[in-house]
Amino acid sequence: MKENNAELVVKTLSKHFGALRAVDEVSFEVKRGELVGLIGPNGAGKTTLLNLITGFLSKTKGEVFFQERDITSTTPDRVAKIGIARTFQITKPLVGMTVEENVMAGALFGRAGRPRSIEEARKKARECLELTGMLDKKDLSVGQLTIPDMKRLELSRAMATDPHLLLLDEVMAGLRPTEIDEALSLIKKLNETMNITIIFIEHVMRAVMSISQRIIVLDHGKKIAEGSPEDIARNPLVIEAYLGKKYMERRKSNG
Amino acid sequence: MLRQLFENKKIRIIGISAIVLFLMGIPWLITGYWVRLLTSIFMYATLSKAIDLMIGYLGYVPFGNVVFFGLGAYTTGIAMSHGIPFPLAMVMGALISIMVCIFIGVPVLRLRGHYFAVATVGLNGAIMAIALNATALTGGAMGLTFPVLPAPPEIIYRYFYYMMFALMVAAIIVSIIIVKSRFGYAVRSIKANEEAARALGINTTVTKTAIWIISAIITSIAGAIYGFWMSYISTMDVFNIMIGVTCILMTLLGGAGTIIGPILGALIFQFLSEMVWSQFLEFHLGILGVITILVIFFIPGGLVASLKESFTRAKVQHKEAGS
Ligand SMILES: Nc1ncnc2c1ncn2[C@@H]1O[C@H](COP(=O)(O)OP(=O)(O)O)[C@@H](O)[C@H]1O
Ligand SMILES: [Mg+2]
Repeated sequence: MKENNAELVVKTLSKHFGALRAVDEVSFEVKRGELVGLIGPNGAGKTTLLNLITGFLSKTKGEVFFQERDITSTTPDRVAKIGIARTFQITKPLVGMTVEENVMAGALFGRAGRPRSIEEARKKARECLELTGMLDKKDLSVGQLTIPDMKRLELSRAMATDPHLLLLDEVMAGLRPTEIDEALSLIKKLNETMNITIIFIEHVMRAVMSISQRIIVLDHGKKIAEGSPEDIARNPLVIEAYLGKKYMERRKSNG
Repeated sequence: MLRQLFENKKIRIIGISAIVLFLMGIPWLITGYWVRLLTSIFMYATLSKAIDLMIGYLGYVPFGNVVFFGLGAYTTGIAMSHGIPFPLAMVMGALISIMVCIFIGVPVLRLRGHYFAVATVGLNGAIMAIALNATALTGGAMGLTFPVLPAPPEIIYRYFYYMMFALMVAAIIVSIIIVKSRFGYAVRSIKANEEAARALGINTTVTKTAIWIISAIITSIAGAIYGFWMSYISTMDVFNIMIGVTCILMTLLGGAGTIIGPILGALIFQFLSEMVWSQFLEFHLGILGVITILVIFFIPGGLVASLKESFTRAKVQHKEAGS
């Protein structure tokens, strides 16, 4: 099961909230260097899956391996230290600290933060802010940021932790089309030139289709499809999950 | 103008040196009463600094932090009555406080702030009860007497004045170092958002316990010095929860999470209580409460924050007027 180049292996992972199976026996693998999209309708269990991988939620069942190492019951801070960074769908800025200080906190801890001095962390933070186009806002307090800028801050801060694997939860929500293009090319750049394996949850279908090498689809907690963007676009189960049964039936009778 | 003065490094160093020199020399020029009053101000300032490490920097309110004051005082007193010299006895008090922090902190600091606040009150009650009942060791309800220094009162007053002053300076320096360090970033990140802090790789339980230990060490040393200074302590006296509450009020008044806020708060409170409230003993607590409510309503960030704000405003107006 654990192949050599598998960065992340998720095995029959489940999370039940009472009777609700938010994540239901989900298994998949992500190879080192891959750029994988994770999609599914609202409430499909995408964020919960991400919380399970990063140790923010306890697992009802299943296992998670990162770089062949069992991280099933690893705490979030340890997960970050071994090289998995994440963003939060509902952004969690460090209130009371400036934009730069937020990103510095990432640069001082995370995977490679330990040996960094405060000044080195500041330098690293500025590099990350430069990449996301936030450098000119470094001295603002986070309370002054717009929602899209909060998302950019989340991304900058996650990058500052020098991750091997980056998990992005709807970082493009609320961005304008041109801004989405910028975000897409940034994610591609992180993946290609910085060699970061990326799983990104996104609602903007155009975005997911355009840059994902592979797409995983969740619906009602279950993995219903997995494959290339072309396969996913044609997959009847996916179309049904997104557009509803009625649409499918109409299509069938018409076609 | 005033702000520029503060921001000029040279002027700041001269100003701070002047204050330090003044405070070093003053006990030779004033009466014992004033020396004692200043010593008690330093003590409250130190305790407030220690509590502000938790409130202002970490965002947790340790209502029962006075437990370390009592532990420091009692451990030192018991050790000294067995012939152990004061510095060593003081270190023993700090070590016991550290142990309590680790045993209690690791399980309790996993929890959110309000549980921790309540747990510290329970801890204080429990340790106070132990101190009260371990009569053979602590003297129980009779209290505990320290060996008295063989010197005339004025010398003794100055001795404790300098000790408390040194401890306060140490507490200030510690807080400055913490704010600028990696550890300080961890503490501030936890205050800002505990989940985000964990996602960045910060071990929140260890960090919270560590800052609590620093707070406890300072508090227990203050307790050790206090006990030796008073030469007699009782559980009602050094485990009095009101000491902690007063320090929390001082911190809020001066400004939580600022370098000099807790010092300023302690100074104002102690002067007021000495000058004004001692005339109306029965209303003491009532006045305290009223002042706190006024402070929370009208200067939510504390005095330091509102002073800073008015400086900035003055600066902006100055600029606007100039352009
Ligand atoms: N902490 C929780 N307690 C109870 N139910 C939850 C919790 N978190 C998520 N859920 C539920 O689990 C389901 C999946 O949620 P989520 O993972 O946020 O979906 P998605 O991110 O795909 O929109 C939803 O029905 C949601 O209401
Ligand atoms: Mg979600």
